[in-house]
Amino acid sequence: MRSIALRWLAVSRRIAALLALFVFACASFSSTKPRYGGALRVELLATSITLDPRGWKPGSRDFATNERLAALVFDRLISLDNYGHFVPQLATEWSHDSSFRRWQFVLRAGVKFSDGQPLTPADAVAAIAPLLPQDLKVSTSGNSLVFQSSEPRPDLLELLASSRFFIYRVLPNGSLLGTGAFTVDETASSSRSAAADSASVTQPPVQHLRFTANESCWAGRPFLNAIDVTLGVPPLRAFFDLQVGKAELVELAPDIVRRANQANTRVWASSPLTLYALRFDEARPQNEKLREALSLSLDRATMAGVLLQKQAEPAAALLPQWLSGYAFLFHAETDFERAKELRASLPANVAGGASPLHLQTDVSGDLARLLAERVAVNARQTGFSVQAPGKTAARDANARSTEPAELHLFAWRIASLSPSEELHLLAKSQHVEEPKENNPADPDRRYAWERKILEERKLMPLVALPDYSGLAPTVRDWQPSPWGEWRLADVWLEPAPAQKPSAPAVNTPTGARP
Amino acid sequence: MNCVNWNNHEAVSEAHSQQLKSAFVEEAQGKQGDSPAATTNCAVSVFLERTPAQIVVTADVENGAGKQYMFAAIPRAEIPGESSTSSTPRLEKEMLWQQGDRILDALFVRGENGASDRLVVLQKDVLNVYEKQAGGWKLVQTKSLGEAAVTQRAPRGELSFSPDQPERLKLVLAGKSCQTTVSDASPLNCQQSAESARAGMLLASTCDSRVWWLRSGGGDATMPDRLELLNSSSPQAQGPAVTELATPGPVLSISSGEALRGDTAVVFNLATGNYEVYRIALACGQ
Repeated sequence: MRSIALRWLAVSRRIAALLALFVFACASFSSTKPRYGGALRVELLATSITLDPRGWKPGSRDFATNERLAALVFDRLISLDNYGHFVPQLATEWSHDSSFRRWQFVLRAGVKFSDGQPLTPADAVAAIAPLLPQDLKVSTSGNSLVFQSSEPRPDLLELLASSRFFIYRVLPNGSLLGTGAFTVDETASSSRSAAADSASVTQPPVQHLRFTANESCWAGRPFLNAIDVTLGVPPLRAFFDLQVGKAELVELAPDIVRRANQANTRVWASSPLTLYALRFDEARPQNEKLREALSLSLDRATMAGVLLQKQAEPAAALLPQWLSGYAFLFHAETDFERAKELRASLPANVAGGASPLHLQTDVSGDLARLLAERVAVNARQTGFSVQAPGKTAARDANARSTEPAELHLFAWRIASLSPSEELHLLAKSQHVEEPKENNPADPDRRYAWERKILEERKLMPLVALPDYSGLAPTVRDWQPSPWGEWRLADVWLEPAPAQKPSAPAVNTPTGARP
Repeated sequence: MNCVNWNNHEAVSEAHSQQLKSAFVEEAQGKQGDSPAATTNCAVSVFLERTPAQIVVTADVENGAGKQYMFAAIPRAEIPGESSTSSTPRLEKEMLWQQGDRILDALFVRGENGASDRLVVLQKDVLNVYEKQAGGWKLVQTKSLGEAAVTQRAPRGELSFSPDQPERLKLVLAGKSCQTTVSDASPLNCQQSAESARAGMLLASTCDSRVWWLRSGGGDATMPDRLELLNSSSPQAQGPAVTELATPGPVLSISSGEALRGDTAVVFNLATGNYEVYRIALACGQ
């Protein structure tokens, strides 16, 4: 017994010594204090943005860009950290009744908008009320916000911690004020005050935006002095700008990621956030066997592995596994033989036989075109004729064919942390009817509904893609969330290493600039 | 119910997964008692999956008609060890010592194997070592800092301790790094050094395996302060602390002499004008 005790003592001491090393290491680590100052240069693919959450289109790529920039200027009531904890933001505490129908959030005292005016519960209600789903109402009660729902809302925290649920104040001129870590520097932005103006989408694209540190932010001044955002930067140029030190944070297109990795660029990938899927046009319902045959012909593994160079995952569910927790129960098999059998059993005059099935891409871009072409190839392998859109039509929504399409390829970018809200919005946008008496906040009902949609093949998932970003080595404390939040208020910049002395003049190639 | 197929896809810790499994099997066996037919049904698979805010539990039950899935969602914040909200870490302080002379730093060292607890107090010109005897602190060693004594208007000094060498101490004073032993009267061995000031200290929870970062809230010497607990992965974060503890004045230093099980903080009490030494630890539960 004594020897066991001695051995335990020895082990304990060893662990303690290791811990002590950690303490000393930590002491030296603490010398790497965050630095205040500097401007982070960001390049985005989007050509225009609007920070007004009321104007964002759910599921769109623009929604994600708008949300990222809005998060610089506005705060939410709460946030979710990467460990599953809801963290107080503008609300300091919250509670709900036993049925999850009534929630109360106490507003943080002493918070001011960037113009110095105090945040009031009425401001919060005015901001959030137009954004809420129909069944949710919000009102003030003293220094609190009260949410009342006709259905149980156990997912209200997920809902309010993500997506468009920011708190802002609308000024008489239509621009929005926030309480966040940054403010829009309108004088430094290269166009009119479009950044915080809901009408900006209809105006010429803003090319450059500058966000400056909010010195009086309730959560503390951010480390960065400013964030300079350039919009409409093509993917390859953004990658080159990152490489040559013209930008510190850029959005990377999936087809650039492999190249960036090969160049040892610092690349960040989120969880899969954008779903590409097919939808049969609800106005032209197709034969059930035709749907099944087409579904069995889709080779998702090749789409993800070859076409997208493993930068995407084959998708068998509408909601990704990381969000629903049950996506692994769905399987999307590829069975060309069975698809051919089904095809052969169909009458010759069915769509895809004598006349082709018209496939329309509802989202622009080369990726959608490539996927549409692959769907057409897969369909042909099983005896279907699918007409994919031409290069111009796929890139430009205005150039689409006027021919009515039986099949649509669409993209859906996840924005909400509430799986029920996300499924509801996705189904609504794709004209999929929601069952009566449905409460998708109940996981059993949500699963049943998603399964029904997939089994009826109203929607057919293809692949899911993460968001990719490229980062300069000087970007420190980069702590994004897996669901795509960048959290730039916590980021700071390390000074770039000193430039090497320029080469002697004799080595300068002829014609080079001095 | 011996044949449940249990799948924890890194949703929770293995230990907690086993606890859940035991509870599940016990519950299922209780229900089988009411239903003899169910005893033949072994085809039950349970999957634990993690989402941003929840652990989703899926039960896959095979019956005669086919498969049936049942779901339950548990907020991640309610799972002990997976998060801190159910066992929200709570900072607790216990005052160990107070005096009128300025204290730069202090270390509480828990005595092991029958040894007495020890308190080391660093002042700007002397190092005092106290031992707990008969419920009180007794001075057992005094060491002059000699040339290492701090003469600045706002002096700073830090103590570092390694549990592996409990008799040895490291002192960081303005521009100097010194080594000494606490059990004898040998002088300090100092060298020039440019070590920068500590920004905080790690603090381990005894409730689970998590390690946190403890720091002061900042402010100047005229203001009450607070101790803040942050995620150790992001101590520089400007966001709100996980929990905090008000102090009666500015926090002057934070050290650890207990292999992170407890930290020692020195606070200047604005009301009394005393320098106070507190042991800071994390308490479990609500």
